[in-house]
Amino acid sequence: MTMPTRPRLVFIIFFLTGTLIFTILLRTTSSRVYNQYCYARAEQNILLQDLRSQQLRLESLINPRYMFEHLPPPPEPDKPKTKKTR
Amino acid sequence: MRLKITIIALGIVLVTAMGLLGWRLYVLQFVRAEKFAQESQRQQTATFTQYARRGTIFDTRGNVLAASNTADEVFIEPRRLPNPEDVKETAMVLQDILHLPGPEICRLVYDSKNKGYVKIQSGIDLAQREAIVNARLTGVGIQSQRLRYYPMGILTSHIVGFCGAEGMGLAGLELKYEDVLKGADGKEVVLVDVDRKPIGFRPDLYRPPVPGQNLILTIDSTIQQFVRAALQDKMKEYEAESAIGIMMDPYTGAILAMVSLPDFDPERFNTEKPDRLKNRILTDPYEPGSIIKPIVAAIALESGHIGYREVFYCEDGYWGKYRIGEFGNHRYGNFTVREILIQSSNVGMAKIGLKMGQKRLYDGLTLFGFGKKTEIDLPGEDPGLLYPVSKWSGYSVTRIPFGHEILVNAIQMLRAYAILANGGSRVTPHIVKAVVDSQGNITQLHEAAGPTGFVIKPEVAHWIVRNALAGVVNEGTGDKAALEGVQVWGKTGTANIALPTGGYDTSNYVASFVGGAPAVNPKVVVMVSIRKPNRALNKGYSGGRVAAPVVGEILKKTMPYIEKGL
Repeated sequence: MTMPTRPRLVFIIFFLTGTLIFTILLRTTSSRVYNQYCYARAEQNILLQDLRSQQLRLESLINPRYMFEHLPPPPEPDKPKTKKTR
Repeated sequence: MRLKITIIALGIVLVTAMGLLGWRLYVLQFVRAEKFAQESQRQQTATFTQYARRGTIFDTRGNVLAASNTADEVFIEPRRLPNPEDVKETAMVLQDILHLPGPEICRLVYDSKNKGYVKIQSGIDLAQREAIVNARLTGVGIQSQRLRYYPMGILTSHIVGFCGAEGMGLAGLELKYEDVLKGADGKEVVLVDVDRKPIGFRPDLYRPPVPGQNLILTIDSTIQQFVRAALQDKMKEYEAESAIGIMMDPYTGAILAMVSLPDFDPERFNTEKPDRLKNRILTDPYEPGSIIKPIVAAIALESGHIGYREVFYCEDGYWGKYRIGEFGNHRYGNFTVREILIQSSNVGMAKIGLKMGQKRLYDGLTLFGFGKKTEIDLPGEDPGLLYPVSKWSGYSVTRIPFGHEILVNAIQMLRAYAILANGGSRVTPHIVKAVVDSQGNITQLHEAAGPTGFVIKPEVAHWIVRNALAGVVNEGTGDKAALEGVQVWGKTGTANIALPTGGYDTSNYVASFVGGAPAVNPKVVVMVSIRKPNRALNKGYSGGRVAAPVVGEILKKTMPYIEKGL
């Protein structure tokens, strides 16, 4: 029940070609996924960087120095107008 | 025969050749194997440095004083845009993305001497970055930069310091704590194809970055603001050359505020004059003048050489034997120690010095920490100068008690007053409360050491503060520091400035006030010194006139702030 020689050859050629195509496919997929990952990571880094710069900007707006320089001084408490009696 | 020789010769040649090849193989496979393996590895991989984030510096209430971030910077490489038309076209595209006028971009390119790199804008956002990448402009690039931000700007410039272009600390805490703040850079290795494009990881070679540790300071930015605002107003009013202000917790040595004017913007330190970068509190020791008198009086009382009620004759304003006069040509008669301090009599202090003697005076001043560094955790401290007794002249024992012939830095002087305020215990001035790693774990903690031995007895310290120095504010030269509802105490000083050529500058002074509040269990000690107030303004130049109101103003705002625990 052995396969005839010619179909065996065709099968081997198809098998090798399929394996080759599959390998290339795997390699391409791997490369694409890796690139997607790198891009996503770069994007995440940029977002983090952006978030941190916003945090620092907020810090520079709510710190005591900025407050004192930009907010009006609190009103002086009213002094009692009536004289003290003994 | 001939054939045989030929065969033997050929055999020898072949064997030699094979031997050489074998040797070469051995060298390649065993001797130089590691080198070639590395070479091969290098061709197949690329290494990327992952920069560690530098630690953040916080004040005692968690306000950020210094922090790091990376920012994308757009640059142009002018040598790749040789024609002015190319520059204009690039600028036209960039102006819409960066919201920067095109002519301004052209000017930056034309004016730059560096034809390889011209910074156009730093800190672009994600959308701008994508727009620039998609525009595919020749000669335009984006580079990631590590930047150090100082949200408080000039407010804490002399404390925090600044970093150089490479991200290394160059001054202040950034320099002192460089090893703690910098962290350790990481390394990522990726496999690359023939075009050096990344195609995969080498997780076995990955080394993650270790972020720098964070510093939590004893400084309170709000109090720092109080001190700076009061100092700056007075410096401007008196057109003074410079001014310093420091506040300390007398029981722990924690520095609550430290201001040295003129100051600088730490993000633009390279455009500032070098003189502004100096933290004069640490780098500029000076002859303290009358503010040293309470310290000398405390040493004399402690040693028992003088009594609380002992009377000294103040020579009617001028002691000819030692050529000592009074400030303002006042003519004083008989004074007790308390009155000597309240009226700030130089003659009285000279007599106390003589009565105590050279050795006791020297030993006492050394115990108070003069003449050596306080070891505060900031760089650049000058230890001042206290000559050993062997170098003293016959006049020294009469001069040092009113602040001549001795150089002190402001931290030493404030620490000496802290000793008086806390009942006689020595404290270590410090500015970093804790070091915390990126996970929030405390790795170093500066705990209050508590009393580390008495320099003077508590009763002497309490008498000086509650009786004599409160008297200076209530009845004497420090009346402008007085506040309603809080007993302020302290001592004024109007110090001569020594000239490098010898003698003293007769037209310029350093006006100082050192004190605290309240008199019982003081919460803070403060020192203010204003150098060279302009006498031509005829507003006065003495410590009582110039520096005492600043301390009053600072305490007026600080005391309620501390008591309410805001």
